[in-house]
Amino acid sequence: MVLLTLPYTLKITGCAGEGVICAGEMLLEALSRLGFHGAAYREFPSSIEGGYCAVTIQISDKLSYLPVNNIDCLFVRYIAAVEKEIGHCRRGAVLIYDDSSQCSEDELLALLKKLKRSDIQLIAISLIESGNDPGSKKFYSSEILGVVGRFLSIPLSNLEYTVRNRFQYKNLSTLQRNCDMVSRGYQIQQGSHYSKLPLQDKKPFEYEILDGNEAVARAAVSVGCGFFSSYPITPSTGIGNFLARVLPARGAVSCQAEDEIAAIGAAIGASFAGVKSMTATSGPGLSLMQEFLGYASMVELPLVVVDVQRPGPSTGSPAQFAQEDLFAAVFGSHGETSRIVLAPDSIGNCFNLTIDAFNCSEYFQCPVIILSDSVLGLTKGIIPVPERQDVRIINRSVVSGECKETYGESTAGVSECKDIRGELNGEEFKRYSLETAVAPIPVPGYSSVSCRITGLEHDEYGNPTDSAEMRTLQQKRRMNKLNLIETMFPSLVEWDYCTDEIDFGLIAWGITVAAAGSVVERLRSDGFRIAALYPRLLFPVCLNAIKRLQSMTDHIIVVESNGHGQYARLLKMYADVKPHSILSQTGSPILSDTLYDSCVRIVKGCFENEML
Amino acid sequence: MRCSENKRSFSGKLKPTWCKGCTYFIFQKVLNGLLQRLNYDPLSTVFVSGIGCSSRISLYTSAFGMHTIHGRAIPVATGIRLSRSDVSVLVIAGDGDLFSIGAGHFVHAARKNIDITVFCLNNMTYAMTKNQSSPTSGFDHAGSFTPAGNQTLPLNTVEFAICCKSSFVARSTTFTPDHLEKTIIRALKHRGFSFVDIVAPCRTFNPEYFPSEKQISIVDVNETMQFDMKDYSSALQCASRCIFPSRESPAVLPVGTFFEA
Repeated sequence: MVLLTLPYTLKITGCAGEGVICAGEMLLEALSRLGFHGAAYREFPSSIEGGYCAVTIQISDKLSYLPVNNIDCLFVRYIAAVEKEIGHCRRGAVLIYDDSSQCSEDELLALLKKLKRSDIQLIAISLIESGNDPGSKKFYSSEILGVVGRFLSIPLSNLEYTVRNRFQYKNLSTLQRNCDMVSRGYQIQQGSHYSKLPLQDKKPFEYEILDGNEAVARAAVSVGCGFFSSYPITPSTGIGNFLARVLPARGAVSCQAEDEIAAIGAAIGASFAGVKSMTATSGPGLSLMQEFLGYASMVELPLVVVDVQRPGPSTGSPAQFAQEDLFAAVFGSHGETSRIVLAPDSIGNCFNLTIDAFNCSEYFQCPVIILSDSVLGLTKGIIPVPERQDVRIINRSVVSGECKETYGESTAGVSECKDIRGELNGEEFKRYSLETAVAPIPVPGYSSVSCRITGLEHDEYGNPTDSAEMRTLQQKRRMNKLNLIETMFPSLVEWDYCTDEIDFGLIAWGITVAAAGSVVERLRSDGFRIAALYPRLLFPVCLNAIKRLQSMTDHIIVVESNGHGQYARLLKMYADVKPHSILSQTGSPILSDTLYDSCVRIVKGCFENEML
Repeated sequence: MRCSENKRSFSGKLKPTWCKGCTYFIFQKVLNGLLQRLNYDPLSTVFVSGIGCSSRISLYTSAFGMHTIHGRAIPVATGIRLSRSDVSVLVIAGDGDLFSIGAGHFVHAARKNIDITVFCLNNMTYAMTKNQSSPTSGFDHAGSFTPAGNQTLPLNTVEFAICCKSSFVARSTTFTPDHLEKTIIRALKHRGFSFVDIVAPCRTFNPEYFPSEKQISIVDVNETMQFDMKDYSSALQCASRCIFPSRESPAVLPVGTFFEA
């Protein structure tokens, strides 16, 4: 029995419709019950049945680990999957294959020899379901769970409990058949290759299994989001799926709009009505939302927009991964707009950062864009979810009125409202007062004064104006109001450094942080002195943090998954940094081994750029 | 939301930028007077508009006003209505705003029967950009982009609204303020998506409609035509015959309530 070291990466592959992803998610649940951390990253084609499909399970003892390491164990049913995945396998990796499908041992050995990978250890098993009954396809998931569970020496009772949990709402015969299949899979002989995972002392059940999309949605509920509207688009649809189930029961609204323009328009309308609102989309939808994003900046209404990024341009690759929408999020829409762009760097952070996004947007009265991505959005993770009372919530400042009872629970809090009736002395209310960064917002049906808002340039009262002087003053105020964000929300920038004496600095954002984190550890053990900066606040650029890093070193490496080096270019523009870029456009996240090699090459090669 | 204690005025402090004698002044006067008379509370009423001459009206009220972006008044109004059932939501926009750039939104708000009242201030031209043909411009209308005459037939807004399953559809005109007032009252009292096409020709770019008494004969379909406004197909049939401006008889303006579910 081999004792495995963590983090351990296991990948189950197959065809869409074979239950591969279901097997992976059940394995994650069984692991969470044993006290492990972990994540299950799903890969699927843009079709319901047929096409390559896989789930990567990262087993870890650390929080929110994302699948960015090379594969330790690969499960295949088709020989094509071996050709596709072998390059991602570590030396000495285990290959479990189904010899009853289209994989014969001879063929496999020949292929591995041809690929010069005779280091791979083979385990042959025969799935009973691969036989002749096409209708039985749906039980693969449980059988695969049994096989993989046995390989990792997870107790059968745990696996059976997981299967019962997963299929509890199916009919009895389906449930029974799945229970039979998990124990059938468990009994398949695997020779002498059984392994064992190190015991964990983490208390189970303190954690929840959510993917990044669900974590964003959960956070929106916790922070009191009262209105969500969206249009279905891969890979952001999960957010709408979650909120459509949860919001109505809380007296809040979830609405499927006719397109992305209507989705953001309705969210802006709800925000004007005093309700915290959110919309979610992916690249093409973000393009459609640009005009309304400019409007929200101009009229200064709080709004949260989630962009679950996928590779573009145009329709691009809907089910693949990229970090290409940063420029669109920062600069999209005409004119110069005041907005905030945040990027979560782990599944757990999808929750926390969504809370921050609402808080920033309520406080600064501007749109906040959350740049998630397809991997974060679709990867299930075992993550901690804070209790509702532990969530720090900032509500917009509103003008108070008499009829508080009509102002429901799901709307912004009344705690910070301001009664300005006495101060007005018959004068009009200054919604866009130049004396403060942001003025209180009048809310229809609640406040004692009304207001009119327009996308036209306006004076302090909100009335349209042609005055060049007023335009300059208002535009300056709208831009400058965000100056304090880095100081007010320090959790938006994450540091990892030991000493001020460093050889170079590494900057990563979004999911790339997961790979960067393990690379930094390895490079430090190699003797390099490194400071790592992980900004979640991408725009406005976190100048304080960047300046501090600049004071430590001239050599700064920025890692990101796009071709332009978009964040590196933002740093050049706003902070006068001249970083070295490591870029990747492969459609999948940068793996830690690849990033390590690349960093080493850059450092040894006297700092050049690198495109993977 | 009605305001019980005192009748509050809906007149705003800002002076409209409309041309002298603009037909929109008539609509504004009728609407503001009605809202006050019907005890609407300006602090619980939202005017939502898009972009264009008519859309400026949301800045000229004492109620809450949202002057949004071109063509998107309806989605914004939908968001307000769905999140707050206690405020009254009025959409006031032009023919280009509602039926050209924003036509896709009209369909769905009507289909979903969102409880908002939509007034189309139909001047049959893009006036703010100095006269281009709009979806409701007559055949041969000489817009600045179609100097040889617009070669498309106008959209019949009431027929379109009924096809989209609006639950209240009417047409009136600023030429007859009394009829306009009666129609607006019916539209405001209707629960569900209500649409009123208000023919309000542009004095600057459509001078041929003035003075109206000589040029146009206004026909009330509820008095002159036999149809059942509660019956979808009967209403649709009637509305489809009541296009304005029609190519055959451009001087006839059919008004009235076409459909009420």
